[in-house]
Amino acid sequence: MSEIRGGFMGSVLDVDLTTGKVGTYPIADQTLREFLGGKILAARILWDLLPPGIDPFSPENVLVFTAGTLNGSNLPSSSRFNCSTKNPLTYGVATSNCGGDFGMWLRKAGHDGLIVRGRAERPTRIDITEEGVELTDASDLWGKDTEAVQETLGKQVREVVIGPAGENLVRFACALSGDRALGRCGVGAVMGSKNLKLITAAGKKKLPVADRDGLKALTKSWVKLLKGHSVTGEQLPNYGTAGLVNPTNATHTLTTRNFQKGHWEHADDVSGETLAETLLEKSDGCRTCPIRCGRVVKHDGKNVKGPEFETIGMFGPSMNNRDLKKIVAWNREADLLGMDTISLGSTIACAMELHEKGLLPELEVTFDDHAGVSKLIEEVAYRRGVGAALSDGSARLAESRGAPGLSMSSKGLEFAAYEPRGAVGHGLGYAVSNRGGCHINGGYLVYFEALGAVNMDPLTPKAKPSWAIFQQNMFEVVSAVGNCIFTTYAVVPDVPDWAYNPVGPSAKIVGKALVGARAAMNQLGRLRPGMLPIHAPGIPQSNAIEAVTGERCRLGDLMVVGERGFTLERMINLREGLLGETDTLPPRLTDEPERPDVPESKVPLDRMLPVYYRVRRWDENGVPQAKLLRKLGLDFAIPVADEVRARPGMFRERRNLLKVGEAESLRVALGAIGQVKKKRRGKSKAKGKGARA
Amino acid sequence: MIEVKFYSHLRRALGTREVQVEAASVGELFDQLTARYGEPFTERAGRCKVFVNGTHAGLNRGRRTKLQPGDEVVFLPPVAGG
Repeated sequence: MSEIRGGFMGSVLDVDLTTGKVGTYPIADQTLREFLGGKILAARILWDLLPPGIDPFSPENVLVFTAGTLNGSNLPSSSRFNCSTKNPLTYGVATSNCGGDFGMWLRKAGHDGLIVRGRAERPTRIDITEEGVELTDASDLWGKDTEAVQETLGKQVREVVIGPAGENLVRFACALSGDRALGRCGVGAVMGSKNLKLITAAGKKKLPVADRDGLKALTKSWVKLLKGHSVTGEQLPNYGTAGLVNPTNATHTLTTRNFQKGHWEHADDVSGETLAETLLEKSDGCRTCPIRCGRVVKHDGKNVKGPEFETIGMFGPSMNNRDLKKIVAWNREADLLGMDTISLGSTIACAMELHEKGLLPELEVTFDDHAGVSKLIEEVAYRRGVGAALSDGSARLAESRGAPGLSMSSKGLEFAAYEPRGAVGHGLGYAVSNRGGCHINGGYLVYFEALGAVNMDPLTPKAKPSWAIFQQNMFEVVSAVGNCIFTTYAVVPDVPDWAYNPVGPSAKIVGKALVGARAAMNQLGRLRPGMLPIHAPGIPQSNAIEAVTGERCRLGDLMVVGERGFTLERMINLREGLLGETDTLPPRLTDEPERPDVPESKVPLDRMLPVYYRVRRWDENGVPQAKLLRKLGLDFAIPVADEVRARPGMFRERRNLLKVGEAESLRVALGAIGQVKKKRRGKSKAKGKGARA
Repeated sequence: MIEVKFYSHLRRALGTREVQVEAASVGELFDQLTARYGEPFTERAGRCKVFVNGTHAGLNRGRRTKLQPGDEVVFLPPVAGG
């Protein structure tokens, strides 16, 4: 019986698709206190359950779905859930975060998480209700797109489904929950490798809350904070994330032609402003979110999900495409087929550049001819024709054509649409992000370097490691509690009109102060939680955890949990053979100035990385020190850290072996899935009796 | 001529995407636009950042930032996403 008064349902389901066995996975109170939920709790579970060195498409891989701590609390923007697994693109940790309703409904069914192991014999669905768990045959749904599958489900359930791309093990296949995606890291492909077409959850249980009155008051003040801020109350509701296209372009941080440049003369054609003036029908939002950054646009006479900034960046400037309608169409096609639009768009842009250089002559689309893109997207999803070469992502594609530097990725995961040579700290984030070239896991420094209300010099390496660490740790914990990271943008308060002049001295003073703050920030990680016993204005997550769980949580506690999560994911990566030598960027970004007349417009990674390691208290090879692991309560990872230090070659070899054998592993996995049951379809039990918990 | 671009709410408030202005410095340009558009400009531009050819004027010479014919000046509101 849990002693924690709220914030948890007290159950993590454990499903083995090979045996059909359903049970629960024990989680101690202390584990919940230290790892909270979402991606951090998932990392803790993965550490225990993921056998090192396995192929991500093998039955030994484990999917860990976790609700955020605040899922079900109805606090603002608190519906996000997570899925972690072994990443088919990087062979390290995969974490994918989604704004769909599944996490909340998983809790309504009575559970904080779901572990899926093994591989079913044939296409299978998992249905979770308050009464139990059923594994049933899903042969009738295999082959269908994500919308067609979701249309077969009632309104009482919420789901996670894959499309044909997941079934064909496209390494960047995503999973959909409503029209929101577990987008990154190939979670959809891992589901496909397990013959798992969909998961549904339904129920009416309520999340226990320790302090309902406190929660109510906090909800009210938090909504007011978000609605009153210029970014979360004005910019995002009116233009969505698409509103970033023009600002990134103006600051030379917009990918253009596969990151050949950071500035594109046609950006306004595909901007959030143009979207609002032409195709926008209305705004939309995740459940409980007052920001409503989602776009609903008209497409083929139907209201469909509008493109986010990332999608526009990849399908627009990165492919040199000025047609916003095409972006909407490709976005929809990718959603139906179940593919991450960032990796898909970046891989197509990479293919276009390979074609331009004569290294992929069979490609029929180019930076100047987009007529065949829809056909190519379909081919990628079904691993057909030239598309098959793109189905494993840009890193494998570029390497196979003898030009690995043309893949705009780190560790194998493609970058988001921000060109880092205009915001070099953002580039550091791409290099050290645990899941690969991710802007969020990297710390999103472009906010402080170019886009937010106050900026520091975007081209100096000074202070960037310190800010990256602070941001990474904060985002880690904000994601884990189930909040959208957009809630953190109100942390920088709007400057009152009387106090700010955009061309006066204040901007420069603030900019220098942000850089100068590094010495103090470097000490933050050395503080004990009790040394920051405050709630910070603009970061209501600590108040929220206190109100929901009844456990003491202050800013210092949040930061330690964030650092714990980030460090544990790093340890998973090291165990899988992603050593410090994989904290890299393509030479284009480190060696070639984005603006020939501005020599500093390249990412000085070699200057930032050693400082980043030192401030994190990792050794010179990027391995966390034992003292740090002990302080974070990660003592169980110390033997692995010691072993990585003593025998790095063994771990390197672990990953290399997987890469060498991956074509065969893929063939085997593809052969083992999709064996559709011909006769009796529908509600037959996949594994007979006992599939209940 | 200097090409000045407006985005987001400033674009909506002024009813134009871009204008061309003759000015030798950012300060001069700011004063000209204030005179031309009045309150709708100052209300919104006060919270914007000014970038000249991709460089943040406020982090450099501020009002004294020199402008050359052909330069591109943009007014950027604070934005963020993910």
